[in-house]
Amino acid sequence: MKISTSQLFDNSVNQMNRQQSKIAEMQAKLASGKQIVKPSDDSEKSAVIQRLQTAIDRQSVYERSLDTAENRLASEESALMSSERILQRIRQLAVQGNTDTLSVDDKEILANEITSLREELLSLANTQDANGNYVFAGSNVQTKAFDVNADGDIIYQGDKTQTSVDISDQRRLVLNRAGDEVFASVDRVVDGDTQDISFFKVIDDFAQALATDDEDALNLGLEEISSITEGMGASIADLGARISTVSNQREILEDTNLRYQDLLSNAQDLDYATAVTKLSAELLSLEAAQASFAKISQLSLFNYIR
Amino acid sequence: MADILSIGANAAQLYKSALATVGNNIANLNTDGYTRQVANSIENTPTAKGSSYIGSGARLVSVTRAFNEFTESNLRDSGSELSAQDPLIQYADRIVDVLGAQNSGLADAFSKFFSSASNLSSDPASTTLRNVFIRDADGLAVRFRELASQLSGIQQETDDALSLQLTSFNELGKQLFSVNEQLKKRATVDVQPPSLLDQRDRIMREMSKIAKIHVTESESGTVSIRLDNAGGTLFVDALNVATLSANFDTDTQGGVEILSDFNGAVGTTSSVTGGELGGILNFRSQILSPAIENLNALAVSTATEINAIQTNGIDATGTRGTNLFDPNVDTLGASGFSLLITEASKIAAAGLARVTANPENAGNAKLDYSDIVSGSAVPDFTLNYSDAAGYTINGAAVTPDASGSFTFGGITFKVSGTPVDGDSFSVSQNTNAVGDNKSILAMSRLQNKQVLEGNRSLGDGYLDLVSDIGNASALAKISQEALQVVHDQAVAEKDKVSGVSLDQEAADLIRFQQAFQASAQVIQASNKMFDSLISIR
Repeated sequence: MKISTSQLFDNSVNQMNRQQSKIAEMQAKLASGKQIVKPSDDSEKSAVIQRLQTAIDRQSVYERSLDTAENRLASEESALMSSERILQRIRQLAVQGNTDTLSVDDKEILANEITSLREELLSLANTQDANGNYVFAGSNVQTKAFDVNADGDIIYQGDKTQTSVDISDQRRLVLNRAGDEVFASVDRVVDGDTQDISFFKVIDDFAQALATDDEDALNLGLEEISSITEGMGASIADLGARISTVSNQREILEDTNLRYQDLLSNAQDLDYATAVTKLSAELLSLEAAQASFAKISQLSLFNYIR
Repeated sequence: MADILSIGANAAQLYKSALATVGNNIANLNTDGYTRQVANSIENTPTAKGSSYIGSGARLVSVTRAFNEFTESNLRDSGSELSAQDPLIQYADRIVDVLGAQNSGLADAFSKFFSSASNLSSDPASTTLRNVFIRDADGLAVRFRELASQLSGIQQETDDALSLQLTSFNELGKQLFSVNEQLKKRATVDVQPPSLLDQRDRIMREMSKIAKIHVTESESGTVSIRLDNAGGTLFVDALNVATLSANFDTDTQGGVEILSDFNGAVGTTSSVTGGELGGILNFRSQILSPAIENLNALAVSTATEINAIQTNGIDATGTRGTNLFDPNVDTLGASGFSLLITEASKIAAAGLARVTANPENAGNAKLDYSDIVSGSAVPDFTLNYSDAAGYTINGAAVTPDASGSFTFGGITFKVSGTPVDGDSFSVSQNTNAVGDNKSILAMSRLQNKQVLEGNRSLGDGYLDLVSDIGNASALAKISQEALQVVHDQAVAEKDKVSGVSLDQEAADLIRFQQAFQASAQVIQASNKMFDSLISIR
């Protein structure tokens, strides 16, 4: 088959151009360390990379949620632990006060201590987290959870909303418990009628009973204080479960993250050994094309016509 | 003797022409579109001598082009198909690079937006986080607008490219028409000047790079051209040449008609296929228009879904949320995707209603709500349950359906669990609930929610949009490689017939040179014979 002279030249030049562009492409990959320099190099793979990137972004969001949750739960925990200690002290005082051996004056001293402990409890119930939100106010986080109303009674100003955050694609974590469930009220039968007596009123009433040395009231108060202390214990257990969820989830998250990072690396990072080998191969064939062109282009019958 | 002299003289003439032809071939080695020429000789009529015939030499009859109509038309067609792939690939790759890049694409903007929604959900009262959310919402809007403008920029570019290519095509048509005029002067194609025919073929080859053409050659070598195939629109004939123009339809995305004006008769033609023009038209109809439409549809879905969540929430000031993004995006397209809320307090992070179970409830029933009809006021009511009357609101019976759902005041409520006689729930507007995250949590979950048809999330929808274009481009690249092989083959075939090879010319040069020398020897022999006779004394 006849090959025209200009075709011979054109073909050789085209081949060398193609080889050059392959080498440039390879060089760009090596320089960036990525398998795909532009999304158009492999749109399928670049979609996979973007999906993975989104998933990884999502994991870091969960990580942040866990940080926030941990911070918030820690505020709750320290408040509840302190509250429990105070309640135990109150209970101790209650037991101490519920004996006939104490003089009225002594009981009054106890009553004063209980009142001041109640103040402390109130300030714990109004605990704020690092961002200034009232931890025990339900979703009314910018309003004091418990405050004194016009009648001098302490009332709950929050709501019963429990906020939860996503800590994985599937898992939700409840962040808070309503203040009036943690600092829970008790039922008291007054004249055959069941009444709701608030947490703080229970303590106030007990202090009152001590001060006035009302034996029936003292007995009832001791019972009620035991009951709210128990309730507090249950809240702490519930909180403990949530705190352990956070640390469990953190481990799972780290594993997940590692897995995604691994997949991402597989999808986008360049295998240098293979790439460098490939580059050498491409360089070799370019050199071969150049050398053969130099030789072939010199061949002409005219060289032999003298 | 006179015979021998004339045979020799004629042959010398013949080989001089043949050598000139070889020289011409060598000289035109690098001339674009040159077809190798061949000097054709024929044997002269022999003279009768008694009962025998004595040959009387040879003479030049014609110099013709080494040409094959079939390889030429193959070359044109393969050129048309090959050059159609190029604009498709180039423009599609540009779109993929813009849409698919980590920094300029939407995937990243979506991810940021949902991340800040999620961050806000863990502390909805934070003004800082609310501001970050607004910033990222604006980032999303800006990204939508930027992509829309990138796509319309590419559309504008293809508009210009189409017009430019049409102008070149029309120009080539005019050139071909004037070549036709020249060709009309001679009756048959073998007597046409080779260079004129070369010019004709070169013009047609260039035309075929712009659009696929169908060529009909007359006896004299004049051609008539139709677009695409034998049934296509007539573009050039012996008497006229058409003018093509583009009519852009601004109402539809990428809409364009190609108009043909043939001697005053104007009509639309659908037979522009192949070549650069066909490639651009293909790109517009198969890649660009769907891409713009899909981006617009995605913008509408995104705005609608996000607005639905916002308007079903309560903002930090306790009022019902308003649209976060401009709902007019459904008529304006992605280029009208804009943020309406700029105040941090206007982010409706909290749920619209507050549902409180009576603390005395003994059952494990829970009440929740969803699907709020937009604009409906939040009802304020108490849902009571008794064994005797079932669920009642203000004394009126309420009957939940099989899934436990019922509608009241434009809101769908759902009871789960089992109530006990005397249980009740109160529902009211969610005031003061700056710490509630029901609405913003729903926003954060929208990232993975399958809101698009085919069970895809918004992010999936976007990645699919980019993948579709990438796939089209990848397919075109595969076709391009295959078509390149076909075209290379056609070029080689054409070259085999019409190309100039220096080796071949060198051989011919020697051959004709030697023949010329031999002819001269014949003349000399005749001369010597004459001398021999003359010298007889």
